Amino acid sequence: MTPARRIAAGWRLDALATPAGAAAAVVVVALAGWAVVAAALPEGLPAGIAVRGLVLGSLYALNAIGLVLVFRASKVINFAQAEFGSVAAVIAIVLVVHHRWAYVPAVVLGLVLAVVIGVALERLVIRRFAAAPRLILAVATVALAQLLAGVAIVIPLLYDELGDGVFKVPGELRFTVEPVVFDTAYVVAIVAVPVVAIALGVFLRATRYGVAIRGAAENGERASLLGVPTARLATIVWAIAAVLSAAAVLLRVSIVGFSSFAGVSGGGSTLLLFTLSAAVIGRMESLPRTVAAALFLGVFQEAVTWSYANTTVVDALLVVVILVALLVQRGVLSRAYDTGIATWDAMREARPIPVEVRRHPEVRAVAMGLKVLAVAAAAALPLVARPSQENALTIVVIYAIVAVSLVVLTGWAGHISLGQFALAGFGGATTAVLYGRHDVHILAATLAGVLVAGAVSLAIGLPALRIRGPFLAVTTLAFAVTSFTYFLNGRFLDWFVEDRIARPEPFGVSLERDWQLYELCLAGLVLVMWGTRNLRASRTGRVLVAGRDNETAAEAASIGTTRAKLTAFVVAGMIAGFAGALYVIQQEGLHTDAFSPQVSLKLFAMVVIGGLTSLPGAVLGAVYVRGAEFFLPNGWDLLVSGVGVLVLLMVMPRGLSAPFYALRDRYLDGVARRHGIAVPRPGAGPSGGDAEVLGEALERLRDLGAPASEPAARG
Amino acid sequence: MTFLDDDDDRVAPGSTGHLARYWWIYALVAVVAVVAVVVPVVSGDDDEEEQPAAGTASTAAPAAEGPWRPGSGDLVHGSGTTGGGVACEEGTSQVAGVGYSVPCLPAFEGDNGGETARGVSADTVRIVVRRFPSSANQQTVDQAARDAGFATRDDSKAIAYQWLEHFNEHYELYGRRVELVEYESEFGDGTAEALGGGREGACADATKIAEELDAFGVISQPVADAGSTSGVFADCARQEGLVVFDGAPYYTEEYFAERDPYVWSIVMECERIGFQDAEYMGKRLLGRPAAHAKGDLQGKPRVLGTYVPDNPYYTRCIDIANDELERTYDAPRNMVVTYQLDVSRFAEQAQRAVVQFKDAGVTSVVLACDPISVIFLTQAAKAQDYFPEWISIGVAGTDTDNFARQYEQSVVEGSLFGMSQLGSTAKIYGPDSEANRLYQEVFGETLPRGTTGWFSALVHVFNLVQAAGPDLTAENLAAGVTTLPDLGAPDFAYGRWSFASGPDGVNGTDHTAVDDSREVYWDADAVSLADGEPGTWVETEGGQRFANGEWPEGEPAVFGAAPGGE
Repeated sequence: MTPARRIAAGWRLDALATPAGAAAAVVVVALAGWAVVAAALPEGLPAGIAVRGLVLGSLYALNAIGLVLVFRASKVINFAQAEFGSVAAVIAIVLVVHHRWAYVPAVVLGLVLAVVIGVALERLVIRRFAAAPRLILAVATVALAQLLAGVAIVIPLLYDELGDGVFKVPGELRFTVEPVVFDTAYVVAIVAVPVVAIALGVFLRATRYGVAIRGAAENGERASLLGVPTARLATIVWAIAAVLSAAAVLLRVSIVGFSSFAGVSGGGSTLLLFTLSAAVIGRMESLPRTVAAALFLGVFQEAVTWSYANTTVVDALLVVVILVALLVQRGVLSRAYDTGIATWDAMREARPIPVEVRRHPEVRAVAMGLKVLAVAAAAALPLVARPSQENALTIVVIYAIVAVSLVVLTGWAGHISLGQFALAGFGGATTAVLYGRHDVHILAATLAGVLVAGAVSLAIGLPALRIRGPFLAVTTLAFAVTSFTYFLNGRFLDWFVEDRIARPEPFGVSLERDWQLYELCLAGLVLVMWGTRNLRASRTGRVLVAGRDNETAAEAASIGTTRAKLTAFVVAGMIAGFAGALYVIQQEGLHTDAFSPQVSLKLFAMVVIGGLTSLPGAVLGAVYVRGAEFFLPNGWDLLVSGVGVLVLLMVMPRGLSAPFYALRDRYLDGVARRHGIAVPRPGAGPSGGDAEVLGEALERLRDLGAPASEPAARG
Repeated sequence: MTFLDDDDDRVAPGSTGHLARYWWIYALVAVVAVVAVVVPVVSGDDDEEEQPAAGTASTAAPAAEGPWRPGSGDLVHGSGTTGGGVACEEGTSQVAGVGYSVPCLPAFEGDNGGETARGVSADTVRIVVRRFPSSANQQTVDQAARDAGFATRDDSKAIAYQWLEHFNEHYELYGRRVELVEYESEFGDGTAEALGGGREGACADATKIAEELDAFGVISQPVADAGSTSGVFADCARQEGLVVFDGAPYYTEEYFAERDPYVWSIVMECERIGFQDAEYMGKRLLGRPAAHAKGDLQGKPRVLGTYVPDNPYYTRCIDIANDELERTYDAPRNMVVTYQLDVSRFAEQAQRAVVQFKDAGVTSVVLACDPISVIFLTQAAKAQDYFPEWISIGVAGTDTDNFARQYEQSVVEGSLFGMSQLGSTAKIYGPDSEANRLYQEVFGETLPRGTTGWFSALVHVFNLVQAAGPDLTAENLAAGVTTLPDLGAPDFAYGRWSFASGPDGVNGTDHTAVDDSREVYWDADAVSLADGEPGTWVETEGGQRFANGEWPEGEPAVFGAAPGGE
């Protein structure tokens, strides 16, 4: 460091050493930022708009604080955070509009209920995943969000009419900061959110439980060994998160006004993205930074919308804001990454077959036989399927291809992508526009789609060299939102979106019938699986896994991980692009609605459900999620609803492919014994023994009816 | 690494030959090839018996000539006796008592060509009625409909099947009968489709309806009177060659034309709404003070602002309105605020919009949006002390009593008015409605409250099928539609139905029936004739409807103002 920089750093540290100095610095920076933004935006940034942004940002802050607390306590991104308090909030509103309760007691009861619900969910659901990989728990929270949203919808339906009570903050406070009139609800939010934030800070710093929570967040195992009741602390944290969520919903409804229960929700994927963004900008650990980020995002959203009269622009710019924020503070993100979501060893990748056994003719024959049988059975499905089922089967196969791309990127390379289907959208858009609008041959158009998706994926991969774990997850989610609202939207990029194409006839081969396209997609899936299997078996594949498991160690062994990482992004993008090309052929055009962020989240869930590191698992996940939606009778789709996925994850936390591998290992064990092959017991590797996996599933199935015990007992 | 992931670098010596390593790929190719050959053979019944898609013209009877003619066959209206036994003379409707039925035809005798299209036989025309399984959202919609005084779906359906029999007897279907096949969606998601998504399931449903249920066409199960098929499903149905009779409400004529001859609708296309919107504003609003605004805005020169979803179809129609305002009325373009069709964001977006309208001095907010957003807009307006005029242009149910009762009444009272393409509630559901009169005449009973039993939806279907002639294909249906005269009349329940003019009232194609609008205003105290509850839309000018170019000059005759006042 140069003397000048040392002086500057010293000055900065001195000035910011006190809370007053830090606060002053924040105010100065905020005012300067305001001046810059006001000058840059066509319509400026009036004070009222900025204040409104601060208020709405404070609601994001409440949920973001909950996210950070849960992340620190449980090392999981809680995708249910926004919905966590929605049930309690709906009950409070029902009490007001149907039972004529006063606002204050109803809200207080709602917050108490939120505590109860938070405690109950932690003990009944979250705790059961204490020993599970964090990604499994993350997907469980996605399912939990779905479940809570469903319950929140059903509660008002228990009543015949809407009710005539008025859900409104009592009092008639009103003031104007041009051009916005603020009422009591705003005032309550302006007061309540800082109070809550400060109270939480005091709780975490000055109480025994607070200190214990912070300690457990630093190192849970060590805290546990020192006698800290980490399970109880986790319960407290989840309860706090539920209260924060309920408070956010109730304040939001109070501010925007209640007219029907349609407007009472934790928010869709975009609101989730704002909350997540604030949390990651706060490094998933700093509450003040998180609150500041949420406030900034609130103002940013209001300012841009004010100038452009269009919320889509905000979504399009959000990904840029997130990327910049993460890249400039990259150096301090590693701790959350190291302690957080990316505990890949816990995924317990299936153990390869020992060479001694694999070389045996019987094993080789059975392996090949099973492969051919599986593919032949899949290829023969149109013989028994009805045309509509052929149509749906084709969708399942295409999703399976995208799921394979996610296995490469997330399962093997360790980069979480919550926007993988958006990549398929880029590939599909390129294919559709070249083939449909510019009469390019379908094969060339598909190739172009594959290359474009690979290039876009590479563009995402470049920041991934500096951003990892949950931070990359949020970045890719932002990419998914932006793609959906802007890049794959014909309203903005008409030249890129062709919504109608005819099914091609490559080299005179008709794809008009669904079974024909199904066979093509199936062949594509097999080709992709074959290629990725070879990639995994290659040096590149081993480098990917090495970098995923321990990047530092890999680099210490002179293994360059950068190229491998980018390769993973490119390959995964190309595979997704290929699936996208097939998708637009199947759908006869690119339709923006198909590429919503929810689809990417669902895709991620299906890969985790199948088994994140397993190619067959990816296919199983796609078949389970999309297959149940399409092929089970009405009502049975509960299996893939929030409840179904939760139960599945509780019974098989290692994914649907785990029992498959357990059976495989049991068979191989028999082969080794029968032929006197001396190898370590095939099932005794890191994947766990066959009996262990099957027994675990049965045990968990039994446990579902029993109260959850302390995680340590199972772990 | 997995059981299926044999490491290449650990392949046993001697087994690295190309065939040894990749024989399974060849086996796979062979399997696929076999399946490719076998599937058509095994399911060849389908192919062999496969009938042409609805849009595939057959080589049956030649086209007929006539003043208005069905698509084919030697059929001339205005002579002989109809199949229902009515003397067919010039100006006589095919079905007595139905003002919207096509002109009469003499009873058809001869060969109808049999299986002229998929879903068509010598005896029947199969139309599928698609509905969604019960869900939380479905229950919410049903509850809202019941609250608004509409009959249950089952009650409506029971009446519909009575109409079906009646219309089968009285429409000229050339020896065929329309057969309704109910289908509960196996793959679709009603909520997702309503929000513009759910395409995968919708397309699988369309395949099911086309290829397994062998349908000629499809409608959505209406709640009470007429349903509407989502644009997403209509797209899928078009791909399968299904005729959609109630497709894509408020979509553009451009959308319909691209899907010709498969997608039709009763509801007005949005470009026409755009043209009428401009005409209504140009002739009746602009250049005059905002008489129905409140507070500071009252009496100020009207400044218009439009709230519209950020959707290419809808924004295009608002662009049309603005272009027309500039070109024809030399008026400034409206301020346009867009929002995303994401229910979870409606409230906040509405709040922002209100602040923007207020800051821009907008005196009159044009509601080119969904009705739920209007609820939030009006609530936000109250919170912001913003009391402009609220101008209905009649889209998406914003002009229904049910939704308008949920708007913030202190804000919209005396300020909500504009255009509506809907029929008057009293004329559709009231005791003196056409449906009720005919029902009493035919079945001797009064219609249950809050339903017509899919009356207008079925009339529309039968009209188009009759218009197609005996050689029933989608193409002949389209040809027949172009020859239809205007049906109904400006003072009829649904106004005038016409397929004769483009969105500007002159040029272009037309795939939607309703061509005119009426002027209405919201009266929170008036009692609705449909359900007896307070709060209803009131017609001006005696309920007269106006097509493009017909709107009169002058201040709207709303809230008791004299017609055409300045």
